[in-house]
Order: sequence, then structure tokens, then C-alpha cells
Amino acid sequence: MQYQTQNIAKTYWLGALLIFAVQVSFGLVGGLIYIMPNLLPVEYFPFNMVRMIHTNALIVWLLLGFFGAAYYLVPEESEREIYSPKLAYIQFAIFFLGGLSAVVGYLFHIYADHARSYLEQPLWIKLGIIVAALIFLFNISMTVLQGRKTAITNVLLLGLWGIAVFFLFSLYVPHNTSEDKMFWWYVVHLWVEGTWELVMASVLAFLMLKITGVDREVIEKWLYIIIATALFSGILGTGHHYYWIGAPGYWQWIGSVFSSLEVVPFFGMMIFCFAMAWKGRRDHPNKAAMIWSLGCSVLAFFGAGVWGFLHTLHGVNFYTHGTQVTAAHGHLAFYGAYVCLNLAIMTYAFPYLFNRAPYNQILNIASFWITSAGVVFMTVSLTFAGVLQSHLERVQGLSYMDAQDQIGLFYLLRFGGGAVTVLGALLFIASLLLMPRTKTAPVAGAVPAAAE
Amino acid sequence: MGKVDRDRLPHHCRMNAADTPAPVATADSDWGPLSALPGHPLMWVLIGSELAVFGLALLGYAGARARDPLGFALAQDNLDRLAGVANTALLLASGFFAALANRAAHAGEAAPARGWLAAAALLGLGFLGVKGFEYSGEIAAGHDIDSSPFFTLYFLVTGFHALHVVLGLIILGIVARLATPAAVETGTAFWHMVDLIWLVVFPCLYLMR
Amino acid sequence: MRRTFSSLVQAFLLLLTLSLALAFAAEAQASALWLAAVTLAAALKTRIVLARYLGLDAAPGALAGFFAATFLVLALVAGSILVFPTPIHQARGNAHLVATTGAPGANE
Ligand code: HEM
Ligand code: HEM
Ligand SMILES: [Fe+2]
Repeated sequence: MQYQTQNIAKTYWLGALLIFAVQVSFGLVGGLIYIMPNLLPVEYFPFNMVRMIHTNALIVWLLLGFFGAAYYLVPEESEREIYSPKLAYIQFAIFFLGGLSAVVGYLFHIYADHARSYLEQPLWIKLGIIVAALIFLFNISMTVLQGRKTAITNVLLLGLWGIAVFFLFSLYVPHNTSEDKMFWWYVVHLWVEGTWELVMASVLAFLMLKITGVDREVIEKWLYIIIATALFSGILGTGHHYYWIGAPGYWQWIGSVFSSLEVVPFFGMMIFCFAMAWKGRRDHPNKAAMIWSLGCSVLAFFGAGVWGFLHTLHGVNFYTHGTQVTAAHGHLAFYGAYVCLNLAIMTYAFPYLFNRAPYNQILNIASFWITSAGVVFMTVSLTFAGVLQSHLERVQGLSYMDAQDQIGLFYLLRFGGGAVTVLGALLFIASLLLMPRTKTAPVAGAVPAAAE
Repeated sequence: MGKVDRDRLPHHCRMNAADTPAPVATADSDWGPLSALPGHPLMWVLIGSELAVFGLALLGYAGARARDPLGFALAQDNLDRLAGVANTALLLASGFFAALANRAAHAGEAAPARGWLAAAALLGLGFLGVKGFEYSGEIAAGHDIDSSPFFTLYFLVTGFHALHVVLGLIILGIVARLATPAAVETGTAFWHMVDLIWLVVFPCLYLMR
Repeated sequence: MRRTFSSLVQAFLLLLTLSLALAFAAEAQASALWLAAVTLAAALKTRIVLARYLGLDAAPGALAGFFAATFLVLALVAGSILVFPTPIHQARGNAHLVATTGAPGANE
């Protein structure tokens, strides 16, 4: 670690890991309710609440992870300390406590009463989130503005500013249901298929730069092409959510055409990572970080690209809209693109933050394969469930519950995959926290600066 | 970092004013296969993306038409083919002027380059005029973006193309101010792309039946 | 290749001729032959624009790639019309048929 303030990332990431554990555990509870609805007392564990905690906790910890990543990589890229470490810790306190109290509030049935997935937080928590975001953007922007500007920090900043700006749409809840949905998607879609993608591209670029030692200039060019195609396709790609919510019919064409091209940046990131891995040095001691980075690009390509394209044409979405196909895609896309991204940068940075040699590589690498296998298995089970569901409900005309009765087996399988996922997640956390206690000198080549 | 600024690269001046040089080569080969293309490599990423969008939309058109050939043919008969041909001619001439502007810019002649760019832009405005004339006729006849699958696609594709013409006019204005070889090369590349897309869109929507 | 003045004029005149030829043929009776002519003329025009206006004759690989893309789109749209012909072809021949069966969706 070259800069003292990179330490801030530690706090953010430890908080993120805690909520990660909560998130997957509540997923498992949700999966359990699917297969044994009467096992848990419904007063305490209503499905909607469990689901809300699962999805909100996901967003909260992913964002904490992004903040951590920014605090870690911006000093190295800008070649200076973070503008104000104190503000960074205040921001953490607001954001973490806000996120935590939202989740705890859900347990006591305190949430905004409009049905907007991911955005159920009561208004005062939303405002807290905005304050935290402003502090963060101020702090990071000041650091970047005063230091060396690189393509990586530029793209990262663009993404982070975009995240904050689009979150503002969550404050506006029109009465008209169609409009309400349109604004909801301005947050949700323009996050994961726009601004978050910029964060993903820049963090992956940083990781490739450090791990493979390929020339910055080469990496920057890939970065530009990736974000150009991401923004080109992703913005109008929002149309793929406007097919059946009462928006004008031409959105079916706009959504289908542009969102089909959203595959391109994800494909680009995958090719980029493998090209860099191929071209670059292969002697970096942190093999686990490399595996998470490559895994991220591949699983994001499959989850977002392939599973996204699967149901993005309006002719197909007519049948699959809102079925388990969507849940299958949601899981693999979020996991591949953003969970793996966070776990990759943590795996890369933890040894430096704790001043250890790349520690429990075996456990960490095992956790990659176990977690990923669990999520892929869940995805495949849900895909079968969804295809069957589409057929039963939308071709044969069965009612929702009659169709559900026939796909129970897949929910059982999903629960199995989910259990494996949770196991993998816990192993990952363990691999980071149970690093060898004895201080060992960092292995040669592990010095971050050496990569440039 | 310490990279050569592409815009300030010396370009090979030609002895003969009638010869345009090969396009300004990019300074670095780091752009891989994109390095060989004239103009800024990211412009070519954009050109590729645009072609993909219009290509997909036209394939969608073919798919939608296959489900109702008669409905499409009847709707298509309402289009003004001659106006379309006129617009093709306008864009082709405009592209010719843009190419001349590029030549002039490379010869270091900023003033003529600006003149040709203005001529190109003027014809672009003419294109928009004709298009507006067509639209008003069609709308007056009761066709709009929601009236039939054919007209939905027709208005979407040609409207989106017309938006690019507008954007292209703005870009031509910007590069006319700069009038450097690299800027004009890149700006006119966008303009030619708009031209190129029309050459694919026009026969598909107006002529093929 | 260099974009000389004469090569640009040549390109422009060729493009214009092809377009005007289409203008005269625009009202022609649609047929497979006519579709093929439209497709080839349009494809030729895109190639000229790519090669001369956009200067891709300096980068033959890119020229081939971009041309393949535009040609493919034109050919697929034209081909789909051959595979799913317009019933109106027959209807046009006998005007009275248009009046009786010409309603949208009335397939043979
Ligand atoms: C890191 C891993 C995980 C991620 C990124 C993730 C992400 C998500 C997302 C995005 C949704 C909303 C899906 C939608 O709106 O269609 C969701 C819902 C859900 N997840 Fe997860 N999840 C993860 C792990 C788990 C695990 C381990 C389980 C256990 C079985 C699980 C079970 C569920 C259930 C039951 C739902 C609700 C589905 C419904 O409403 O029908 N998830 N998850
Ligand atoms: C990392 C990027 C992505 C993430 C995290 C993601 C996540 C999600 C989630 C959670 C949903 C469910 C939303 C809801 O209804 O509650 C969803 C829906 C959808 N996604 Fe994605 N997605 C990503 C990228 C893509 C891409 C690239 C495509 C298209 C190629 C795509 C196509 C779709 C479609 C069509 C739906 C609507 C499904 C329906 O109608 O029910 N997604 N996505
Ligand atoms: Fe989306």
C-alpha cells in the first residue's frame, strides 16, 4: 500500500462483507419459503420482507464495495492521498447506518409503501443516502482534480456521478403507474446497464493494469471502446422495460434493437480481460485476484449478455416477462458483473491493506469455484423453471398458482444451489479475514508500483 | 501520458493540389485494427454501432413484414418515392462536398474547406426540408408512428436517421470552426456514415416490395 | 489509395447515375429481377461511399467488413421479400381484385 488513506477502503469493505453475508442468508430464507411456505412463522418472515432485505442489502453492500474500491484505487491513480479521510469515515457512518437501519426497519415492517423494488427505503433514509453520496463525490472529485488524471479515474468518476444523479429519480413517485415504472427504471436500468457498467469497466481496467502490467495506453483504449459501446446501447436499451407498462408501442422496437447491442460491451470486457491476461506478465503472486477478475468478465458476459439477450427481444419477452427467467438473469448478471467485481478488487487489495503476502490463496480460489458453481446452478434451475412457467402460463393459459405447482422441483434445486452459494460466500469472507496472522514480507512482484 | 497529440501530427503534404493524402494515420498502433482507419478510431466505433442499430432495425422490419406482407405493401404505397430519390441525390451531393472539404483541409486550405463544409451542410438542410415535407403529407393522410407496424418502423428508422442528420450538421459546424485535417476527417466521416445509412434505409423502406 | 479530385467526381457521378436510374425504375412493376437490381445498385452505392467518401480503400480489410455488413442487410431484406412475397403483386394486375380483397391482412 503506497498511500495511507487507502486504508479507508478497509472499513468500507469490512462493512460490505458483513452485509454480503446478510444478503445471501436472506436469499436462502426466501428460497426456503418457496419450498416450505409454512416452516417459518409468516408474521416474522413474510416473503415480501425477506425478498426486500435480500435485494436491498445486495445494493447496499455492492455500493459500499464500489466506494471502497474508489478509496483504494483513486490515491494510487491520482498519486495523492484522499482529500479528507475524516469526511470519508463520516460518509461511511451515514451510509452504513442508513443501509443497516433500512434493513432492520424492514424487519419491523417500516418501509415506503410504494412497490418499487430496491427503492423501498423510507424517505429519510433516501435523503441520508444522498447526503452520503454528495460527501463521497466531493471527496473523490477533489482528490482526482488535484492529482494525476487518468482514463481510469475519469471513467470511474463519470460512473459514480451517474449513480448519484440517477438515484435522484427515486425521489419522484408519480401517481400514474406507467410513469411510476418509467421513473423506477431510470434508476434500476440506468444503474446496472449504464453507470455501474462504467465502474465495472474502470475497476477491471485497474485490476488488469496492476496484475498483468500491460501498458496503460493499451488498457485505456479498451476502456474507451467499452464505455462508448456501453453508453451507446444502454441508454436507449432502457426501452426493453417499456414493452408492457403502458408506454407507446414503438418502444418495443427501440428496446429490442438497442438492448441487443448491450451484449457488446460485456463481450468486450471479457475479451479485454483475456487479451490482457494473455499479453501480460503471468508472475503476479495474487492468482486469486486474477481468477476473480476473469470470472467476473465471463460470468457477466453470460449473466448480463447471454441471459439478458435471451429475453430482451419483445417477441420473446412477451412470454417471459416477469417469470423465473427474469430471476435467473437477475442472479447471474448481478453476481457476475458486480458481486465478482467487488470480490475481485477485495481479493487484490486485502493483502496490501493488511500487509500480508497473498494469503489464503487456496481457500479463496476454492470459494470462487464454490460460490460461482452455486449461482450458476441456481441460474440454470430458475431458467428451466421460467421456461416451463412461460409455457404453462402464457401458451397454455394456466393460472399463476397452477403453473407454480408444476415447477416446484426447480425451486428445490434452486435452494440447493443457494445453499452452496452461501457456503461459498462464507468461505470467501473467511479467506480474507483468516489471513495468516504472522506478518510475512510481501512476495517480490506483489508491490503494487512494480506493475507500471 | 506523454503521448503524441494526433491533431498536431505533421501530415504529408502533397506536391500536387489535386491529390489528397492518405488519411491522417493515427499516431500509435495501440488502437489495433482501428489504427488503419481514417479519422478518430472512436468515430469508427460509433460508425460500427450505428450500422448495427440500423441493420438490426431493418432486419426487424423484414421480420415484421413477413407476418403481414400485404399490410406492409399497402402502407408502403403511401410513401413518396420521388421525394426519397431526391433526398438520396441531396445527400450524395452533400457527401461529395464533404469529401472535397476533407481534401481541402488536408491541403492546409482552411477557407475552402469551410466553404465546402457549408455547402455540404446546406444540402443537409435541404434533406431535412424534403423529409419534413414528406412527414407532413403522411401525417396529414392520417399516418403516424402508432398507426400500423409499417409506419411505426418507417417513422422510427427515418426519424432516427433524420436526428443523425441534425447531429451531423452540428458536427460539421464544429469541425468547420477547427478546420484541422484531423477534425475535418473525423467530422466528415460521421457525415458520410449518415449518407451511407440512408443508402441502405431508402431502398429497404421505399423501393423493395 | 488516394482520394484524388477526379476519383471523387467519378464516385459522385456514378452514385448519382445509379440513384437516378432507380428514380425512373421506382414505379416499375415489382419482381424478383427488379428486387435484385435494387439490391445490387444500393450495395454498389454503399461500396462507393465506403471506399471513396470514407476513404476505406486505404484499409481493404475494413472496407470488406463494412461492405459485407451493408450488403448483408440489403440482401436479407430483399431476400425476405422473395420468401414472403406480397400478395398485392397479383392484385395489382387486376385492379378489381384490390377493391374486393385488398384489405390489410387478406392473404391469398
Ligand atoms: C450473491 C448472490 C446473489 C445475488 C447477486 C442475488 C440477487 C438477487 C436479485 C437481483 C434478486 C431480484 C430478482 C428479480 O427481481 O427478478 C433476487 C431475488 C431472490 N433471490 Fe437472490 N441473489 C443471490 C443469492 C441468493 C441465494 C443464495 C438465494 C437462495 C436460494 C437467493 C434467493 C432469492 C430469492 C428466493 C429471490 C426472490 C425471487 C422472487 O421474488 O421470486 N438469492 N436475488
Ligand atoms: C450487469 C448487468 C445487468 C444486471 C445486474 C441486470 C439485472 C436485472 C434484474 C435484477 C432484472 C429484474 C428487474 C425487475 O423486474 O425487478 C432485469 C430485468 C431485465 N434485464 Fe437485466 N441486467 C443486466 C443486464 C442486462 C442486459 C445486458 C440485458 C439485455 C441484453 C438485460 C435484459 C433484461 C430484460 C429484458 C429484463 C426484463 C425482464 C422482464 O421482462 O421480466 N439485462 N435485469
Ligand atoms: Fe435493463
